[in-house]
Amino acid sequence: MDLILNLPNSSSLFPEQYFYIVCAVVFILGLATVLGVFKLRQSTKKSARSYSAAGDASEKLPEDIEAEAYANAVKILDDARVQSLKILTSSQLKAQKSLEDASSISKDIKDSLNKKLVDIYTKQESSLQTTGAEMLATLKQAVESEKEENIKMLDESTGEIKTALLKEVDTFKDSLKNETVATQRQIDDKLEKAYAEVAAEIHTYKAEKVKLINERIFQILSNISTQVIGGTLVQEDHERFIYDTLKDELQRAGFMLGESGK
Amino acid sequence: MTEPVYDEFKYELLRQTCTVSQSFGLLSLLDKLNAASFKTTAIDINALEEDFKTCTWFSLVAARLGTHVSNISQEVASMSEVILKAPKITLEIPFEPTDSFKKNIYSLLLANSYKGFLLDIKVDESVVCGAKVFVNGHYIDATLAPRVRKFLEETNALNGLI
Repeated sequence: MDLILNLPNSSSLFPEQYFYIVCAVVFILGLATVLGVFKLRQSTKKSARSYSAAGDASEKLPEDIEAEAYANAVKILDDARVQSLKILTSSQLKAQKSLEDASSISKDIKDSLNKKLVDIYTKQESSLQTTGAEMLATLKQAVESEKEENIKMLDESTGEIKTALLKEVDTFKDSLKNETVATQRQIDDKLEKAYAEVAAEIHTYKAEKVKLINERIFQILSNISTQVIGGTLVQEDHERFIYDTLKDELQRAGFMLGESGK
Repeated sequence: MTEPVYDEFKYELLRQTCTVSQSFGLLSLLDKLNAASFKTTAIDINALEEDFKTCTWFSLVAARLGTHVSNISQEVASMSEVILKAPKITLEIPFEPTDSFKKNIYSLLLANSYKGFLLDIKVDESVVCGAKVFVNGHYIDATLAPRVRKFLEETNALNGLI
């Protein structure tokens, strides 16, 4: 950053510039003070040397001279400090004023900037709107074009996909059919085997039961006949049995024997 | 064609005849009477009685002809028609029935609102016990089998035996 020293009455001073000015003034005053002290001491030594050469020409002692010189130096220093404080106070006031000016200036600038920004914003908005519309149109056109192209591609692909799918379906169908037939055959075989086993078991069971029944049937029938009929059946009893049975059946069924005899 | 009086005679004739086998004798008598009606000589009823005197229907037929002497030919034809066209009730039984059994069965069927029929009794030993009755296409099972079945169901007699 370039160091630019402007005058205090300049309208474009900034706080840091005041700081540098104050520092420079203090530095200069300090340098002047040191030079003054150095010069004062030399003159004091020279005076002392002339006093000693003159021999007791003077009544003042070197210590008094030195004290006096020191007092003068202190006074000079105090003056310099007072001056520097004055300069510093003045500088602060000017700086404050400059800051106020800068604030008012920045407000104007801000307004101007705002205005410029609004202008820029308006222009940008207009430009963006135009650009957006153009981009939208271009995008729309591109999308339409892409869409048509995709539709065309899809149309072209549909036939191939259809053929491929149908082929796949046929293959799958054949495979499924073969598997189904094979599975069906296996199931049929198993069922047939199971059926044969069950049939054999039933046949065996049936034969056993028939044999058992044959062994018992005569005894059972004998017992049942005795209990149902009530004894050995002679013709007279048999005729009575038929009569009773027929009578029961006719009554039970409410049987109407026909209309021809009515 | 037939008056109520004749209907009563017809039912009684069929009741007296009772079975198809017994109707053969009546038809035979009616054939003889029919043949005799064409002769100029008188019918010897005593000679006929000797042949059919054991038949229960004979006195009924003789009485009917005696009261219709002037129209014997028509009476004979009418009675033949009654016998031949009478509805049949078939009875299958395993033995040769007695006459009393036939009459009892006939009476039983009469008591069940049926009249003017003939019993057609057939002997079938496969029936074993009881009777199978067929009436106008209906079948009545009066054999032992349904009673045995009912007995088995009610008493659970085969439980544990089979």
